[in-house]
Amino acid sequence: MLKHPGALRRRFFSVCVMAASLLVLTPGSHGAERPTAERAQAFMTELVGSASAALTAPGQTLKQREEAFRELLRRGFDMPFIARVSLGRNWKAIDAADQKIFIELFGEFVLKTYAPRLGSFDPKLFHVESAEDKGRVDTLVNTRIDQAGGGGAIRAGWRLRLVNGEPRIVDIIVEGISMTLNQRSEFASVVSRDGVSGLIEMLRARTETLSVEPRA
Amino acid sequence: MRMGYSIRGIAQMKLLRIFQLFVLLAMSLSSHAGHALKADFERGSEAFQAGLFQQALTLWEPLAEAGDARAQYNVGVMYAEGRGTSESSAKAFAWWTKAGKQGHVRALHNLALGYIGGVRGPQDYTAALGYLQQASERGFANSQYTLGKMYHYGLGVGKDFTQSARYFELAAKQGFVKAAYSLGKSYRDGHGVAIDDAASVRWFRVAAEAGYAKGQRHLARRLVAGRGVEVDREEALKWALLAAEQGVANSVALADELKATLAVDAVARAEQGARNFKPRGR
Repeated sequence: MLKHPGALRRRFFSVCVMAASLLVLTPGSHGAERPTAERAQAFMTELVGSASAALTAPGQTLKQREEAFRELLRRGFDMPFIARVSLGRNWKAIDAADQKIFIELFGEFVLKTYAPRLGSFDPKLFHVESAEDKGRVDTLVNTRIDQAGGGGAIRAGWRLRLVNGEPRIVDIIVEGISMTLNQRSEFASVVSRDGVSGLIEMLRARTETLSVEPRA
Repeated sequence: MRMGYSIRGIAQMKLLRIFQLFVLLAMSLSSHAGHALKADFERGSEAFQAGLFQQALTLWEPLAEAGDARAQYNVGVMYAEGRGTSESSAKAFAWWTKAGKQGHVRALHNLALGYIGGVRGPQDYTAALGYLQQASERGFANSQYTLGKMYHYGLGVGKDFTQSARYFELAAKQGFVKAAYSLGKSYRDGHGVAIDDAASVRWFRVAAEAGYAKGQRHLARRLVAGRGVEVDREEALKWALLAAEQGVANSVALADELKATLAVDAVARAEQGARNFKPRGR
């Protein structure tokens, strides 16, 4: 069913505003230079390769392997930046203590959401296809992830930025949808309903779900 | 007549013996089946630990179908985390609901977190509170702590610090570290309990000794300020170093400040203490 044209215009406008703010929100720690296409592509290839190696490291427990993998991912993403953009204008409305809690929980939330997906990548099926300039300071690495049993490949774009001289992921675009902007719209609706404490508890709940029962 | 009675008695005894044998046989078969089920559950756990998630799921799913609550819970986790299968919060909820109906506390807890986290639509605090209450009544510390948080922030219930402190205490007394830390803050701020600096330090220490970084930072600050505890800057340095090691930013500055003012041998002892630290209960 077609949406009302007014609603579509509002939606388009809000996406433009969010996209513009994503481009403008460039913290001081981020340099003006962007990662070169070669460096950005090499970064993604190495990240997926190292992550896969960490998950299959011999002589370690599952917990140790997964922690090593998560540490790699933690280093690969610019969590404070993504957290700030995801919270949008609500960022300035909360005090420093809540900002700190939010960054911490958001980082865990991203890891919990994306680690199983990234962990299931077979480096042989992960193909870095190209890289292009994005915005003022970012480089977008375009990748294709083939499915093990055949089926349609997934195309994902990884938006990279130099943070203290090192490439860091600041967004993932899957089939044209930005993770950060998508998150921002979900978070905004939670904040408008339950306030920032509701959002913090939501993130806490999503990150504290218990895993399989310990062995008898 | 007497003889006839005796023959009937013997026949009854034989029947009784046959019945007993039948029961024993049934028990033995059931025990074998029980051992087999237990073995499959264990094999599933081994496969999971080895990262063979599909294999684990293949072993657990039949047990779950047969009504084993632990297997139902684990299968739910596999669907929730997308391990060995496609992620499906609907299937995760379905399995956890089955396990929860059998009183499986982890399943009840995860259902509650799913509703708080809005995993399947808008957040539903009322549903979450129901599951948390059930698990909490069964003594599950994680749920008691989460209930404490719900009352603390007034999510789905009226804000009630007395209830939040009560639930934090229930969980803290079972050794749930975050609850010990939260209870320390309740005593510090007079939330649901009378302000009691000594009690707050006691609970911060419980959290700190279990390795909880925020508890370590709070304890370090209290030892510097002498609030609720005797001033001990050397011990404060040990806790500040431990908190700093876990990335608590303010602790680095505190440790540096203490190092600058303490004697060299006191700094060395504190550093040694931090190196030798082993979290309690791990």
